Amino acid sequence: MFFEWGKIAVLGASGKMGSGISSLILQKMAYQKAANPSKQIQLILIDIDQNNLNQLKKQLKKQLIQFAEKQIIYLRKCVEQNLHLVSNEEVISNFLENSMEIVEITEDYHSLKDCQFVFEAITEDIELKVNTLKHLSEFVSLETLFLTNTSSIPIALLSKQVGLDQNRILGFHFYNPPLKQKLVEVIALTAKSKDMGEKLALELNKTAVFAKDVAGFIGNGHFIREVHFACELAREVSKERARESAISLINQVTQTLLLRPMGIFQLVDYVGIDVCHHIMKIMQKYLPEPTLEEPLLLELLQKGVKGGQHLDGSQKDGFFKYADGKPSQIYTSNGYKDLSEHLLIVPFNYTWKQLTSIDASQRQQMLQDYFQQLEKQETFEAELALRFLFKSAFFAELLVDTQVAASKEDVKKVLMLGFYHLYSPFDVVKEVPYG
Amino acid sequence: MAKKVFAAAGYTTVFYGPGRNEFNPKSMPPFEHYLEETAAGTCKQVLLPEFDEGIIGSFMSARFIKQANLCGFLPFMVPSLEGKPCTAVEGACGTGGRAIAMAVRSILSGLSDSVFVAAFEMQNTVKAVYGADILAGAAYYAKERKSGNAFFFPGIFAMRAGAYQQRYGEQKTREAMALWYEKMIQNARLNPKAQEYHNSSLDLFQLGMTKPDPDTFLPYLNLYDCSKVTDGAVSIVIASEDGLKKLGIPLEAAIEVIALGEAQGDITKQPDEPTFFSTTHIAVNKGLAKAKIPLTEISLLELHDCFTICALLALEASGWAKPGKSAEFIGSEQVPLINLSGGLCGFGHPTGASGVRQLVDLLHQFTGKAANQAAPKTPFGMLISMGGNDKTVTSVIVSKT
Repeated sequence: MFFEWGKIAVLGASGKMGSGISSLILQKMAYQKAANPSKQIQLILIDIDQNNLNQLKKQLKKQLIQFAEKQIIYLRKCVEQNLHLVSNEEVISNFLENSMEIVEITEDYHSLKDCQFVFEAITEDIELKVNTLKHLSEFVSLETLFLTNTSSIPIALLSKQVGLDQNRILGFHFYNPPLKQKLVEVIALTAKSKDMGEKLALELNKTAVFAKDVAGFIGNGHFIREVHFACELAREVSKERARESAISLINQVTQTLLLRPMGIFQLVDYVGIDVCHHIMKIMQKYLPEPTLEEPLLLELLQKGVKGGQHLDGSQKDGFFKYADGKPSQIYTSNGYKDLSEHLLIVPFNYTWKQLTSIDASQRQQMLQDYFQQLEKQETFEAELALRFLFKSAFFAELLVDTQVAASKEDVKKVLMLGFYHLYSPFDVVKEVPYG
Repeated sequence: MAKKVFAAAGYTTVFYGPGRNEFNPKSMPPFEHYLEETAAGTCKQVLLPEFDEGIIGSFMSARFIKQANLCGFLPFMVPSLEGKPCTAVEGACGTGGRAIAMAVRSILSGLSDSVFVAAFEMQNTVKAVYGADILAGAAYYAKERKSGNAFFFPGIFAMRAGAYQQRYGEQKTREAMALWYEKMIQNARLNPKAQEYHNSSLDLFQLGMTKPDPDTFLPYLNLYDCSKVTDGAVSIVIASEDGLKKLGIPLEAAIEVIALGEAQGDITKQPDEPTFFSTTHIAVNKGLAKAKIPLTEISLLELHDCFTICALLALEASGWAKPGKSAEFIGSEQVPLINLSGGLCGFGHPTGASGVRQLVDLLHQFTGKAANQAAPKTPFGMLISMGGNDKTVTSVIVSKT
């Protein structure tokens, strides 16, 4: 245990990330309370979306039960003296009841008084975040630390515009889904808040990677630039074929030939087209790149196509429609049409899934051999893959050169833990050929 | 025995559970499917499947699938049992042995010439964490469950393993258990119906040597020491000589049940000596005495290895290995041939069904129908079916016809 939980709030609790953060913190709190039932612990969940808050309660319960089932040995020890709790079912039921007593769902900001932390997980919109945090700060104590889940907005900007001392605001960016994802990007403005960020990451059993306070940080600093490049490539390739065919090809190439869990456009769908668009606008404003915003994303948004997930985790429509979690149709300006498979020659027939089960040191050599083989292929698809890979390496180097990431190792951690990449571009690209 | 009793027409379904490639917990066949399949499998081997009686064994169907009155399913499985006497039998994981014993009694009493015996269990209907509570009913629940381990029965046998280790040496015990695991999986890989048939792990012995972790599971036992959670059904015919004729089963397709050794321990009492299966000792010796053959005449054995430590203790309780010497015995060229089916560790353990499954495997070995066919050196085989913590034990001694 790295610190004692007391009173915590989550703002935006019923959103995709907010609900995951709420569940994660509730489980940690409940774990401590199980050993010490008289402990005063409270988790306050706030959201303007009342409809989703009922759904949130159900989700929290379901995830608490799954957590309790895994912790049954510990929980039985905690209730050793309680002779009424005999079976695992009774122990888990008791745990669930006690844990849900920690939760308070409210709209009343007065409940936030004396909070240790407020986790902010509302929409990635500067004005909304600033206004909300400003309003909240009137209700909390001077010791309350604000942790923002922003994945792109500079923390110093939020600190200044909200009027919060830099010690009192910390960037604490969870990856999706917060319950399972090991990575958290931490952006601290002071040594004191950095120290708290480290403790909190340890308590939540996360791997913290510290980033410099530059828009996009490490994760989006790499990902959004890749998305922008993918859209550029799509425009280029669609000079010779239909746009949807270009998008589908680039998606397939980035998944299959670059050995990633999903293609770049499917990943945009996963993160959310609206979220990506917001982030692009923010990064566009605060970074020296001439352009990062993408008209292609705006086109989909204007048609109401946003991607992202439903609360149950199922994928919403975006660049693709999905069946059983896999892309089945592709967006065109005239509606969705069936996806056609592009024939790709994959060296050694490797797949991402297959390589995840191989020992890391053996996999390293396999990847070296793979990319050497890919370079020998003289197909259009292989060339696309390599161009994307070299660009990815360039973006990774940029993050280190501009000190957004402290080291290549930190970029690698973010890509491998946060995006489930099997390798960092530094591992397989000897020299980046261009900018 | 007062008259000759035979076993024939044995059938086992695939034993499904984690480990089988096709296992999908979200889409499992319902229990009726297993019952129908095993009945059809047995009846197909019988020219005229008109039995005098039916017996069905299951340990905890009332909780796993919320179904009791199981004898009501016998006419569903075998229509000719409609209007005939049907009985449900329960003796925890020793249910199979008790079901066989009840059928043998019916034949010996003259009440029946042929008995259709089925046994099954569906355990994948609940998560293992809750299944543990259900299976704890094989012990004295009211007095033992609260203080028991989260996974209960693994905890019970972990304590026996701990006592064995303390007495005979940690390394030696661990190696014996790992070797047992290795042998059972190797046998299961030769048996298409076994739960571990698809097991392709490279170094089984090393897996068996995994250091037990009391924080995540148990002291003294690792996951490889434990048989898995299984769904499966099995059936066989027990008949007199006249019964076989009426059913149209030739003698060469049957084996003779020459003796039963049955013993019950007091479930409310803890074992006097945790390194010794006292009830198994009684049951095996009774069976041998009734069969009038020495232990050394048994060339095929199916023993109840719900946990690897149980194999060591059963071998010593039976007399094949001296106390503390199971490790040497398991590592040697064994007589008898043991658990060629894969045993409970390899074939799987649908709790109520295992005893009958053991008899089916002895039948198949002696009639040349086994998947992992051996050449037994004598015509005698034995099964040991154990319920609870060495409480409800049946040994069945058979002879090739």
